[in-house]
Amino acid sequence: MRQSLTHFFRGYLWIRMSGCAPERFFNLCRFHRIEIWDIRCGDQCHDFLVSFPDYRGIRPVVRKSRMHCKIMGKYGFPFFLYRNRKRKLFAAGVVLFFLTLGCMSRFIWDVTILDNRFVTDDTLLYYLSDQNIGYGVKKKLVDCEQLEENIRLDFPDIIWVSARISGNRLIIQVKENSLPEETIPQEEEAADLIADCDGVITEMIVRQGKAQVKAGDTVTEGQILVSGAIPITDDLGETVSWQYVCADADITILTVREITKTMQKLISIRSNTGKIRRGIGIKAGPLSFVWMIPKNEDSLWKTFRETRQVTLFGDFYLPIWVSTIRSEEYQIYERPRTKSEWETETLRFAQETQQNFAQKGVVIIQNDVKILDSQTGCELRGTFVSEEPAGKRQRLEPSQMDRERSELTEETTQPDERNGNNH
Amino acid sequence: MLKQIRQTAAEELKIPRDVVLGEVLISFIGRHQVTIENYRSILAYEDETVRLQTQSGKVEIRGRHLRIDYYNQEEMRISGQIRELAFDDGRL
Repeated sequence: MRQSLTHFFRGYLWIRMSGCAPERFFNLCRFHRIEIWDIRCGDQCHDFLVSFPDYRGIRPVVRKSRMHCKIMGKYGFPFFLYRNRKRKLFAAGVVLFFLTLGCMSRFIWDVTILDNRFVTDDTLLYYLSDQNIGYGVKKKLVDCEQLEENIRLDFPDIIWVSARISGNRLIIQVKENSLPEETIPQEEEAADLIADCDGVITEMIVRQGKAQVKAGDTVTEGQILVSGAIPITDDLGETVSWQYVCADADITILTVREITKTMQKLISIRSNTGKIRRGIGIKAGPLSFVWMIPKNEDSLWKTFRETRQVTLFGDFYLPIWVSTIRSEEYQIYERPRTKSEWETETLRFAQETQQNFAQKGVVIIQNDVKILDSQTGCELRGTFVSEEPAGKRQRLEPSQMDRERSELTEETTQPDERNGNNH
Repeated sequence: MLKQIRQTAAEELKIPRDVVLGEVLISFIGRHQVTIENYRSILAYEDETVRLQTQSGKVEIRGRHLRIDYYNQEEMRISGQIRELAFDDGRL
């Protein structure tokens, strides 16, 4: 490849040689280090290629070996220039092309952001535009090290960032913190654990607080499951004071949930008519042009558009976007759902509900979905028997705590008959 | 005498013979391309024969539509439909 390019730029000649001692000629060329290649043996002659600078050195060799040479063709860049010496506008166009290429290569024409998951492309691009970095900015104005530092400072979630310019592309690679943020433990307030739905307690492990129910009990919504007020008793079992804690327990409850979903009896179907329109779009900076076969006004079309940026030599991104457009005509009609479609919908409803519950840690033990017909539409009614974590915190009000304390004080101020303190 | 010393040295020191003795080195790529190194001169070149002089004798390549892709001081590459390769003792 490299040699072919050298030959092209230096120019080369196709020579047809005749005579009685071609071998002597070849050996003399070798001795004088004249490069000839692609030698073919023809009818009473030999054809070969020789580079343009070496052609002058070949003449004494030809004379010495008593051969005759004839130039059959001239190829390469010097001869191309010579042939097109009168095409001044063409030459100007070529020069202009390279000048434009040179000028355009001094700007950024593409910004690629890699490995970001939480911080979106749009967020980073918007941030870059605030920093005056984006499409059409001069490459020398982009200080990659400074940009890296700024991104690290302004986005705490990004723990590592690399910015580099490759060709006309600014590549920003980031690494985000995948560990959860450290949660600052908050001072826990005194609270009860109450039932958030009706059901039967199946399992209960109390970590903090006093249990008010036990496994197997039926509870109703709002009922206290674990109390945050713990009575402190003396040796005789009498309450001497109260300790208020934030009740904490693992409670599992068996409950029945009913979920409904309303659906239309009729289903809208989009049917392709088979008519297709194609077109192209070109966008260069603020200018855009779309060419497409016109459509009938009454028809409905869905359009797919695929856009890509024009590149030269892989990395040289031009500020031109070309898109291919494809439109398909469709018609909408309505029809009643079939029995199998209802079955599919029922199954999908059950599965979706189950997945939604599973995300919340709810285990469905049994489900039953029914289709209830009505005048306006149909209703999918699902009854799900689930086993799920239960209990939500309800803050103990200070007034409630004061009341309990005061009750306790009243009890202690009453005469202690047993000890005879009131004597 | 000198040649014999070189030969012995090459065998004992495990040095390639083409380096020490300048023997011809021929590499085939399939039957359509052959590269010959350490040749001295071209004796004959025709459409069906290429005959070369080497240090130890003559080498003749026979085939059809033989073409010399390139050649220089050290090596030559021939392509075409190669049929056979023959060595001669140098007295031809």
